[in-house]
Amino acid sequence: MRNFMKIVTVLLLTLSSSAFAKPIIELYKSPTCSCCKKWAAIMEKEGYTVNVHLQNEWNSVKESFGLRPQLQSCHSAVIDGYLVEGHVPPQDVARLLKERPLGIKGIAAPGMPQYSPGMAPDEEYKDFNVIAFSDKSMSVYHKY
Amino acid sequence: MGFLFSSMLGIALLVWTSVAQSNETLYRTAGGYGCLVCHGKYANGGGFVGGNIRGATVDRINKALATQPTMLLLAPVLDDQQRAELSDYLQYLADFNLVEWNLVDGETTQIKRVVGNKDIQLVIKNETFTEVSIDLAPLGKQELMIVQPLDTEAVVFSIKNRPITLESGTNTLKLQKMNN
Repeated sequence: MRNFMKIVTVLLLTLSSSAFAKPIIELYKSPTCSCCKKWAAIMEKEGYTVNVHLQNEWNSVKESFGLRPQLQSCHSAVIDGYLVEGHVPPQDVARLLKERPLGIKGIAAPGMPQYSPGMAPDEEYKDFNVIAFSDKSMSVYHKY
Repeated sequence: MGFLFSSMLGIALLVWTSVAQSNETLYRTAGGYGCLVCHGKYANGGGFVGGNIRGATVDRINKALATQPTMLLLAPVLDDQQRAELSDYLQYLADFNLVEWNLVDGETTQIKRVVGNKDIQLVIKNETFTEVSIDLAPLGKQELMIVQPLDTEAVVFSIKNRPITLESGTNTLKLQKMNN
């Protein structure tokens, strides 16, 4: 009986850890940009595994998600089927992965907002919008 | 003689335009993402972390590349020639009188007063989620400017003494020239 309970416990732990494991982030960035590293470090601290792809350009990735030029930032992250462009706060990524909205291809923090993760000295994010986008539309996902 | 002079002038203008476009391309692509990501599409800041860098000299660019933490990794991929080209582009932009017009939802009227005789570069940022078209006839241009949602476009013109009014949906811009 004791062995049976041990097996059940191990199975439950294994299943629960896989069920709650965070998806891997495939991060595309230029070798010449340092603020992307800080964003990656923030996401790693949140429990994500970040695979960094150092490239001079990754337009094909952005095009495959229909990202418009005016939404571009210095790095692009592919996370569980969505594109997360730029310095998007981890709480918005978590919400995206939890709610998994249909009809959008990703979320973006265009450009380099001064008070965004990886840019701001602390976690008081402000003065920028996270934009949800698809091929045909854009909308505010979170206003800071 | 006149034909020769106008031909030479035309060729010089073509070369100058080509160089300006090449420098602009470098500004928009340097490092794989471009200076515009931090400094805005027309180096006017655009609300981003890097701010307005119009008129930056080579010395200022070199200093930023050597000391700014976010720019250190960019330094090795920009040689002296490219730094000079970037500075040329930023000096070219500084020759304009910059006027910024942000289009937003709701009714707005912005009044901008312009001092001096330099040509104006009007940088229009569309902060709405609707494509806008702006009739540029008041600027003496028979064309419509289209600005995509969240995008930024610019137009160059000269202003005489009379005020100019531009309309874009519910947004109005009034430009007035001041004598000093």
